[in-house]
Parts: sequence; C-alpha cells; structure tokens
Amino acid sequence: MDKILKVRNLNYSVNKIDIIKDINFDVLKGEFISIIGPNGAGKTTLIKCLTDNLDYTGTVELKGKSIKEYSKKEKAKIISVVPQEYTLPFNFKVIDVIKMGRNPYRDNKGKEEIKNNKNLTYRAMVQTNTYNLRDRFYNSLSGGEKQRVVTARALAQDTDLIYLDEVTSSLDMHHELEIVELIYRLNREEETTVISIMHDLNIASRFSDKILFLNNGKIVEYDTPEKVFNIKNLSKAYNMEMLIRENKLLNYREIVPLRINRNINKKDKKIHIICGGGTGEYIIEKLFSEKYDVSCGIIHDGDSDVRVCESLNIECIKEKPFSEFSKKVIKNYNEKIRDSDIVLITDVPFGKHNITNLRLLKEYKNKKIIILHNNNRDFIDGESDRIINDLKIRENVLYAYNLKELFEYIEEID
Amino acid sequence: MKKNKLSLIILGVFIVSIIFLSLSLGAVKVNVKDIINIIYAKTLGTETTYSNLDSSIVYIIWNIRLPRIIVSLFIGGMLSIAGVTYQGILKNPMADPFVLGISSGAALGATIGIISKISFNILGLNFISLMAFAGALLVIFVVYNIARIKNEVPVTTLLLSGIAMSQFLTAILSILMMLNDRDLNKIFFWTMGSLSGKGWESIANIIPYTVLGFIILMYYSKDMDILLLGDESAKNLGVEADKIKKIILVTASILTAASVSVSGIIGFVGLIVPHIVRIFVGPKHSKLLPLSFITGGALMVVCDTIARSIIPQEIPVGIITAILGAPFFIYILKKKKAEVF
Repeated sequence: MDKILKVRNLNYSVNKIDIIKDINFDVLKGEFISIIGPNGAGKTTLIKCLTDNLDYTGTVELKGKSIKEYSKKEKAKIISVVPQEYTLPFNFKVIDVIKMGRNPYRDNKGKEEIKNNKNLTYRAMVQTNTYNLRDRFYNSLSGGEKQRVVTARALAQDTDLIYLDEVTSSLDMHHELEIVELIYRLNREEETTVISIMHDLNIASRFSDKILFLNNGKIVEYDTPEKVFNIKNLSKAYNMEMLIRENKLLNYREIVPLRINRNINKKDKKIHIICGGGTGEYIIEKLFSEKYDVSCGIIHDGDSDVRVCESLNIECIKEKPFSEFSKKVIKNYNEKIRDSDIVLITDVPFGKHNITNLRLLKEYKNKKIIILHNNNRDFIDGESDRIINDLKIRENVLYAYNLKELFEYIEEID
Repeated sequence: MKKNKLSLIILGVFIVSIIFLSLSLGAVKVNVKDIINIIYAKTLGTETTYSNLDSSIVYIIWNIRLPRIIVSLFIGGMLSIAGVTYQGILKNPMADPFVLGISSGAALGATIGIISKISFNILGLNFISLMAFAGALLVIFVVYNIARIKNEVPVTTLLLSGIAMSQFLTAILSILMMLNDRDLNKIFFWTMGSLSGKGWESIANIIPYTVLGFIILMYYSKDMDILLLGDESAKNLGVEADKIKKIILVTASILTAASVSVSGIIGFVGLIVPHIVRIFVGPKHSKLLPLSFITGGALMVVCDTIARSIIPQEIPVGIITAILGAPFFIYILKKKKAEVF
C-alpha cells in the first residue's frame, strides 16, 4: 500500500513550551484514522501542523514529497479540511460557500473543467444532503446544517486526504452519525484517506482502522482500536473511571465513561457477591467504585455479570456454561466465602446449577449476609425460597427490600 | 441573468440623470439641452455649436461643474471600494477606510502642510495634498507593524492599534489647530472634506490610482470572498492568505490616501455604501466592488451637489454625507438586517 502521509520528528512549540513533541507516524492510502485524546492534548495543533498552517520543525511528507514543496493551490487539491461550523461575518448563500471548495481548480478554464466544477459541487451537495439548502443564507442555518455545508465545501475540493476537526460536536446523534457514515462511505468507496479528530470515543472505535492516541502533545499509542482502547491508556489520560467492553451488537470495542477519578481510600471490607443474569452489574460497579474489595461467583461463563467483572478486573469465580459446578470451582468459592466480611445475595433467580451457591452458604453459620428481596426467584421447586427463609431469621443476616437499603446495610456493617 | 441586466440598465440611467441634474443645478441654473450641446461640442463637435451661449456658462459647465462631478464620482467610488476591502479583510462590518487611523494621519499631514506655508507642486499635487498622502500611508504602515505578530496580523490588534493611533493623532491635530487659529477655517474645511475648485488636473491626479486599485481588487475578488471564511479556511482552500491580504490592504490604503489628498476627509461613504450594496447583491466581491464604486460615486455626486447649491455658502461635503447617509443607512439596516448579518 502507498503511504500518503509520512511524519517524522514533528515538533511545535510556542514561547519555548512544547505543544507537539516528537511525533512520528505513517498513514496509508485509504485508511480511516481517528485522533483522540483529552482536551489540550494538541490534537487541533497537530492537524494545523500536518496541513502546514503552523511553523513546525521536522518533516511532513505528502505523497512522497515534503508538504512545503507544494503551492497552496496544489496542496488544496490533495488535502481538504472540515472545520467545526462557524458563523461568517457576512451572509453568503449556501451554494456560494460550497462552490468555494472548487477554488483550487479556478485557473482551469476549459469546458471540461467547468463541467467538472459543476458536477463535483452538485455531488457534494447531494452527498451531504444540502442540495435543498442551496439558496438559503448560510448564517440563518442551524448548527447541524452549517456543519453539513462546511463538509460539502470540503468534499467539493475532491481531495485524496480529508481532515476533520471534531466536526460532530455541535450535532445531535442523528446528524452526528449521518456525517460520520458519509465520511466512512467516502473512505470505503472512493479510498479517500480520512484523518479525524474524534470527540466521541465510541464513534472513533467503531469506524476507525487505526487510532492515534495523543496526550500531552505526544503519541501514547498508534494502533487498531482493539489495541489502543484499554483501561490503562484511557483512564490515565482522561483521569476518570471507565468501562471497556465488546459491543456485540455493532461489533466494536465500547467505552462507557463512569465517573471522574475520586480520591477515596481503598476500603478493606471484603464483599463477595452471589449474582448472575445481570442482577449484579449495577451493584458490582457501585461497590467497585466505592473501592470495596469485591469478588463474585459462582456464575456461568457468558453471563453479563461475568463480562462486567472482567472489564473492571474483578475476581470472578465462573463455571463453563450450562454445566454442573466442578470441585475446583467449589473449592475456590468456599475459600472466598471464608475470606469475605460480607456475602451479598442479589435478586438473582436460582435453578438447578446455581442453587449450589446457596446450599454451600447455608453452612457458614456466623457469616454476615445481606439478601436483596425478590419474590419470584425460585426455579427449583421451593428449595431456594426455603434456604432464603432459613437465612432470613438468623441474627447476622439482613434483608434489604431495595437497593437503597442494601447499600445502607453495607455501610453499617463493620 | 435577465433581472441583472435590467437592474444594470436602471442603474445606468439613474447615474446619468444624477450627473445631468448635478450639472444643471447650482448658483447658475443651466438647462439640459444646453448642457448636452456643450458636452457634445467639447468632445466631438466644433465650438460653433454653442456660439449662441454665454461663454461664462460654457466655462461653468465644462471647466467647473463637469470635472468636479467626475472627481466626486471617483472619490465616492474609491472610498467605497476601500470600505468594501477593509470590511472584508478585517471581517468587521464596522471597518471603514478611516478606522485604521488613516484619516487622522492624512489630516495631521495636511494640517502640517497648511501651517508650514510651503508651496510647490509635484505631478500636479500641491504640498498639502502630498503631506496628506504621506501622512495616511505612514500611519497605515505604523499601525500594521504595531499589530503584526510574526507573519500574522490579528484583526483585533489591528483595529485597536488603529483606534489608539487615531486618537493620538487627533489630539496632536487639536493642539496644532489651537496654536494656529489663523488657519483654523482652512484646516476645518479640510478635515470635513470638500470638492470645491477641483478641475481636470485633479482627475488626472487620481485616475491612475483609481484604475489600478480597482483592477487589483477585482483581480483578487474571489480570494476576498474566501478570506471571509477565515485565514485558515482560506489557506486550506488554496488561497495565499498572508500575501493577498497584504496586497489588498496596501491597495485599499493607497486608494484612501489618494482620495483624501484630493478632497480631504469625507467620512461615512466608505462605511455605508458597502453595506447598502451588500443588502441588494450579497457579499460576493465580484459584484460588490463595481456596484459599490458606482453607488458610492453617485452618492458623492448627490451630496456634493447639495453641498454647493443648497445655501449661498458652500458646506463641507463630509457634513452632507453624514447628515443624509446616517438616517438612510439606519432605515435600511432596520428593514433588511436579517439577510445581511
């Protein structure tokens, strides 16, 4: 594959403060690259350097030739930039704004070229769904419409490489996806190389071939979304807690932002949770964020509670799907129960296999246990209800009728 | 297309009628038939055609009113296209040819010329005009360099340094006026602008600037459109933003300096004409520039005609442009602002 962009030792500083530090990377023709990173990471500055709009040091090679060797017009035939929408000082008609995209080709006055200008302007309008806006005044459009017009202008430039600078931040989710899908189609069908600063990590993860992860002006990682999106990289850069999981529905790695990092101390209360079928997700995450020492099990693999544990890096005792709990798993479970200060039973339903959890727990007479209320959890001819009722009357067992009570109990127990 | 042609014809007829009206009005009224005869004879025919007319009338029309009207047309046109340019380049609807301190520079230059009592001519320009020209260019050079940061000239700093410089120079001008009360009247007339006594030689003086300036600005009209998107967008669309901005800024400043050196400071035309024209034809410079030139010229002819014929004494034309222009502008602004801004 041809390299369209080759960046070596790129540095940019203002007043001796480095904004961009020692950037090296290559982009192949036809790739879809997303640049991500927290605010102030230098993303926009990087694009300004890559388009030769700032005085950087180092080299930026475009199609095998230094970008500085191109004239402004030649460059504009290869690179286009979609900025965030903005208001113009004077009110142009939409069609006039889009036609400006043909400016690099203005000197070509042949019949063929004039026809080409018209066709490409028209195509850009159709692609961005702006044709019916063409006679309106640009400044009277909504933010989303303006963004589509500015995008159309860049498409009319008909370039090999297109840069986008957080173009979706003013858009609602419909128009966000519309623009991204349009760019993605352009990328897949016409092999236009796309380098886009992405505000939304999930959009970046879903559509990109590669992620360029920037922090403090340096590249943290430049690789596929699967490799770049991990808790260690992201939570450090964004200074927050997040959850990363496979989105099976759309087949991409999904990031769920949880909360800003809080400075709370690790609690030494050990809590073991008996859950399953998604009944634990919320409780597990909540206790984890409060920095309790949490473990779970026994759960069958494939359960969504298992996935939450895995993405949060929580110890989870699991058994192969649909199978009887093995001796080894049961041994682990007993160890965990012995070790824990509190055992929590969520409103999980019990059946043929997972009833083992309760049967084993029954033997721990002095264990502090909290049970979350559920009237219809018995799928094993009343056995689970019997055990729960036996547990309920013990002195060291608390019965919570809702989640609020549950968390209050956890805090109260020493 | 048809609509455009029709409006052009209407505009043409309108301008010609204004010129004839202006030729016939004044202390001496001359009828249109005589005017046509005089112009026809002077340009194409022989002197015999108007032998039946009073020679003083011929003199008034051909040597006084006609050149003065043509100068008015040019001055109004130059100030208007300079206004278009400043508003476009500075992306600021408040900008006019004088906002960068050019007027104060020219006024101070002229005032020094007046009180120094030096008199000589270079290329038909007297010392006062030369000083005004030099003052205007010097100020724009200084202001530009104050505002410049490396290769870039941020609009805000440019406007602010222009305003600061303008205040500073006006203060010096006021001191000079206080100290030289004998020339007060002359300086005052100059700072308010006047086209009184401008003959064919004044036209010869400004024609080169007007023609060259107009051609340069028209050449860059498409680039000026794109510069309105902002420097960076313009660069990404293949426009040599830094270079072109410099060229057209200098061009507009020379246009302003040249007009000021002939007529003194005539305010308001450069501010309002571009806005009025923009309301009708939109912000595209390829249309905005020529139509602003014509409209500004016509407005100036009207104002100057009023200035010289409404009362026996001549009123500085800058006063008329402000008195007529401001209310008209406010009216238009109220009615159609939604489409322009």
